[in-house]
Amino acid sequence: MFEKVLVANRGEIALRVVRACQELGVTAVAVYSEPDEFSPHVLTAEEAVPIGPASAAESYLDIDRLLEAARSTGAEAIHPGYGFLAENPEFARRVEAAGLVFIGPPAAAILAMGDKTEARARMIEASVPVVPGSAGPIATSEEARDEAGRLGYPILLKAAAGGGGKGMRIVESEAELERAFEAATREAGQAFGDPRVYMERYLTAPRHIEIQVLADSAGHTIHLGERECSIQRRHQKLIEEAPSPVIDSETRARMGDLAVAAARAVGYVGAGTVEFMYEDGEFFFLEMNTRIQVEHPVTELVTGVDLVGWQIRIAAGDELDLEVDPGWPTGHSIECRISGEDPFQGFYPSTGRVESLDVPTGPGVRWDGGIARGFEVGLHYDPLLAKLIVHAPTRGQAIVRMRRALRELQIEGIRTTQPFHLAVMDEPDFQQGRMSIRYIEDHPDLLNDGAADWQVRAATAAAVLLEEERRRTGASPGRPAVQGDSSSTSVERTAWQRAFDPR
Amino acid sequence: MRYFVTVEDREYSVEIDGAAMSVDGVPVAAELASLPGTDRRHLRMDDRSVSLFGRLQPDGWLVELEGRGFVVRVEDERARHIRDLASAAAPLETHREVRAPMPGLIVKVEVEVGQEVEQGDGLIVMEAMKMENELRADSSATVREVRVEPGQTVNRDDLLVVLE
Repeated sequence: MFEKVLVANRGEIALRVVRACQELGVTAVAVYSEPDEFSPHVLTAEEAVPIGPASAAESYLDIDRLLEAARSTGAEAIHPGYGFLAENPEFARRVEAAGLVFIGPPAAAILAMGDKTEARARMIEASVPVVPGSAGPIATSEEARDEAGRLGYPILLKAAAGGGGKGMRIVESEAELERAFEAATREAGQAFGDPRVYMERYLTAPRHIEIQVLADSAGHTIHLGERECSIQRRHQKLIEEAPSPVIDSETRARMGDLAVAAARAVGYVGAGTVEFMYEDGEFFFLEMNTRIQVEHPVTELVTGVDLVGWQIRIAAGDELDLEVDPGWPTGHSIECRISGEDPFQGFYPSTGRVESLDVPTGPGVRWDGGIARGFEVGLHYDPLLAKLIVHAPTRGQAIVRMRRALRELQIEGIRTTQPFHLAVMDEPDFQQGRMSIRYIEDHPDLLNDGAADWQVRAATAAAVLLEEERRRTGASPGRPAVQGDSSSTSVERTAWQRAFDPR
Repeated sequence: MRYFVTVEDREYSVEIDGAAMSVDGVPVAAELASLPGTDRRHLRMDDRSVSLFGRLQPDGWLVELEGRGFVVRVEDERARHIRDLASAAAPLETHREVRAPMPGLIVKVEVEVGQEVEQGDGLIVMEAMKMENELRADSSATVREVRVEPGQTVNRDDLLVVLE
C-alpha cells in the first residue's frame, strides 16, 4: 500500500478521497486554490499544498503544479477525483512518466472511452448495443443535415471529447440544426478544448441506468449492479438511486455482463461506470466514464463495498477478492445532489457566502459535503456543493428518510436545489418509480405546489421582524410609534433564547 | 399596526396588535423568537414549528426557510401612503431593462441598436459555470441600447439591453 497519496481535486470528492486514504492508513495530501484554503478537504487532510489562484486553469488543471506538489511532499500516487483532469489521458501519462501511480485506468482506456465516437466503434465490435447514430464526428452543418435526415428527428448532438451535458444539444427539426450545431461546437471547444461533435438518434423517454464496474490489474473484472439516474436537468443528474425500480435480477445480470465486456474491450483497470439508456426493456450503451462517479455512494450503501478505497487498493496492486453477496443489493439507497443553483430561477447559479450550515444526521443518513460555514460559493467551479445520501430497507422507506433528512438540512446564505428534492420526494410518479430523463419537463408544477404556505410563513415572519426591529430601535422621529409595550407583543423570549442570553 | 407585506408578486396584510395577529384578516397564532447574535429564528405558527433565517437587506427582509429564500418587502401604513402619493406623480415607464439573471460571461450579442425583435427572439447568450443560456425578448420591442459586448464578464443584475 502507498504511504502517501495526493488528491488532485477539490470539494466533496476531494474530501471523500481523503477519508478513504485515512481509513486505509495512507497519508492524504490536499491541494487547494486560493479561495479554497478553508475547505473541508484541506482542513481534513494531513498535508496541504497551495497550487495557485481561483482560476482552475492555473490551479486544479495545471499539471505541472500538481506534479510539483506531489514531488515536494513525496506522494507516491495521485487520485484525480472526477471532473478536472480525471479523464485526461495526458495527465495519466504525465503522472506515470514522473514515476508516480495514477489512481485510475490506463491512459489508453481513458483515450478509447473519452473519444465517444471511438468508444461507440469499440462497443459495436464487442457486441454491446449502441444508440443508432453517426459513425464519427461531424465536420460541417451540411454534413449534420444529411446525417440527421438519415437518422430522423429529433436528434442529439454530443461532444466527441466530453460528457456532463456540455456541448450537447437536442435538435427537433432541420430549422434549428445549424444554430445548434454551432452552439454545441463552440461549447465543446470551450469545455474540452476539442470542438468535434457527433450525432445520435434521440430516444423519447428513456431511463438513464448505469452499471458500476471494478477491475484489477490481474484481469478480474466484476460489476456491482446498477444505479438509476433518470432525474436530470439538461443532462446533469440531480437524483440517483440503487437499485433501479425497473431492473430485475435477470436484466441486472445481462446489463452487468455487457458492462464487464465493455470494460474488458478497452483493457480497463480501476472503478468505472458504463452508462446505458433504457427504454421499454431495451438498452443501449451511452458512454463509459473512466473515473469515480459523483453518485458512487448509492452503490456503496447497497453493496457495502468502499469503491474509492478499492480504487486506491487496485492502484497499489491489490487483487479484487470481493465475494458477491447473493442477497445483494441490500436495501435501497437514494442520493440528492445539493447544488448552488436556484430551482425557482431556472436552476441559475446561486453565489454567496454560506452563513450557516446544519447538516442532517440520524439513522441511515450520509452527508458527503465540500462546504462549511463561512465558505464563499463562487462561479469558478462546478456548482455541486454536497451530496445527501440515505439508505433504508425499501425504496418507500428510503424516500421517507430522504424527505426527513432534507427537512433537517439548513443552509443559510445561498439558494440550493434542496426544495426541488423535497418536492420530488412528495411527487406520486417518483414515489411509484414512474420516471424517465424527461421527468422535469413532464412535471412543470413540481415547485409551485404548496408554495403559498411558505409565502405566508415568510410574510408573517417578516412583519414580526419589522415590528421587533422597530420596538428595539424605538420609534424614530416622523415615524408612527409601535403599539403595545414589549411584554405584550407576539414575540416572546423562549427557553431556548433564555439559555443563550440569560438575563 | 398594519403592515403591507410583499412576497414575490403577492401582497399580504398583516395586523399586529399586541399579542393578537392576523394575516389578510384571518387571525393566526404566531410567535417568533430569535437566537441572539445570529439570523436564526424560530417561528411557531398555527401549531407548525419552523426554523428559519431572517436578515435585513437593502431591498427588504431576506427570509430563508426549508431551502426557499424570499426577499420580503414590509411597509407600515404610513410608508405605504407616502409611496402611493409618490408613484401617482411619476410618469409611466415605457422602456424595459434586460438585466443579467446571474453572474457570467457574455458569449454572443444577437441584436443591435434599432433592431425590431419579436417575443422569443434571442438577445444575449451568456455562459455561467460552462453552460450557455440564451436571454430572449419577452414581447416584441425595439432595441434601444446594448450595454455589453462578447467576452465581457457581468455581475448579477448588470444592465445588458434596453428595449422600448
